[in-house]
Amino acid sequence: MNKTPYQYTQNNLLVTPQNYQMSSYEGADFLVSYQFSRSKIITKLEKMPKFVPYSENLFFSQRVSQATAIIKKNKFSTNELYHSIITELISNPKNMQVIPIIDKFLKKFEVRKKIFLYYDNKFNNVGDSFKEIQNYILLSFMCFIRYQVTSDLKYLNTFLKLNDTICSVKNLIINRIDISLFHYLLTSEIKYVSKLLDEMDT
Amino acid sequence: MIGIILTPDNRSKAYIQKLISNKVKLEHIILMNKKTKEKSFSEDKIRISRSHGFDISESVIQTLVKNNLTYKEFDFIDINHRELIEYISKINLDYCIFTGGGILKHEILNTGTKFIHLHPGIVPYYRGSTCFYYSILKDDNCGVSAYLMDKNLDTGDLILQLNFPKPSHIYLDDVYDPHMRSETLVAIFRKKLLEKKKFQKQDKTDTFPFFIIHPILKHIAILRCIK
Repeated sequence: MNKTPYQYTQNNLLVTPQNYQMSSYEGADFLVSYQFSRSKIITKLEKMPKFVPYSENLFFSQRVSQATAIIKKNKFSTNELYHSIITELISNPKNMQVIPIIDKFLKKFEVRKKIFLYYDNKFNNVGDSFKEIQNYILLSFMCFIRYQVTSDLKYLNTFLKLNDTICSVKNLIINRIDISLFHYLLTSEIKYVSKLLDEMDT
Repeated sequence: MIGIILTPDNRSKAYIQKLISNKVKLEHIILMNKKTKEKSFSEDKIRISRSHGFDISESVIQTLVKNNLTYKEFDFIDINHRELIEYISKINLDYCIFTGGGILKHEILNTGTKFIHLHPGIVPYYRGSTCFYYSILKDDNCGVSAYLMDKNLDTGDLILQLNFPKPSHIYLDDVYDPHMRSETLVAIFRKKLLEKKKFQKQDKTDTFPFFIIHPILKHIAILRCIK
């Protein structure tokens, strides 16, 4: 097996965020280490008793308000907002109203590498709790859908970083939605990375 | 009057060495220097840098001393530092080339000097960080935009934009990025664009910026360069 492990998920990134600045080039083997590392987690998720293959029905079990209404509240739950955005995106992946909200949270994650439990209507965090792993998985899912629709590398870039963060705290993935969704996201991520690599050969 | 603010890094090395070799005269040279130890480079990297017109193994101070150039040195690296602002206000430059990154605050922008920045991406499409990696992945080439800095990120009036082919080596951060920016800088002087003052307003459409590239995408971009 390759000698150098994929280093970007080795530490708990919720505690010690990775800034990715001036990352070194380690040759083509780096991509092998990455695939190996992700595949190990995919296998681990598949072996979990609560694992079921992803289906869109995961999101339709709960009734949610409209995202544009949620962000007008003085204090809103990030989780509620994310569920709402995803429900809207699944019914219409090109939904224009939710895109600025996704971009705002994408930027917030890129700058602080944290997603807080609550925000106010100016998108400032309310409180300082940020360790709810499902919020990272849901934002990752939004990046995935946006990349699928737009092929915009900005979304793939943040998708990879969010997935690193989630992989770095994989033991926190315990509920049914998180297990199935993250399994689907990692599998899709590997496919997109492989597709980019394949484009290189054509 | 034109000046330059240098810092002890590869970009400054490329800028000052190429300006000298192209006989560009600068009225003021400022060096912000924390006096950290010079990095060492592999023989291959040095060879490639020389093939791009600058020597990465030669420090900025070595270049300045070798060419008998006088310079004002500060023992900090901070474009918004009070002492630097006072000095720039005093020497009354028309233009100042700024080699570093970061956003210029109100005080330094109000000194009356126009600051020139060379950004490694064609704006408005490529704003933000590590843009040349993204443009290699998307467009199979790179680009540089030279502009006068304003209070926002990569939105100032354009002086010149140049496209470059992707490199055929792996030293994008240390060699090719400084190379592209310094070539664009030299072209500004060769075309006398600062004298002509024909700057172009940017399309300030609020395009979403690129953030630091993930190592996976960076590797794919570099592998595309050397395939």
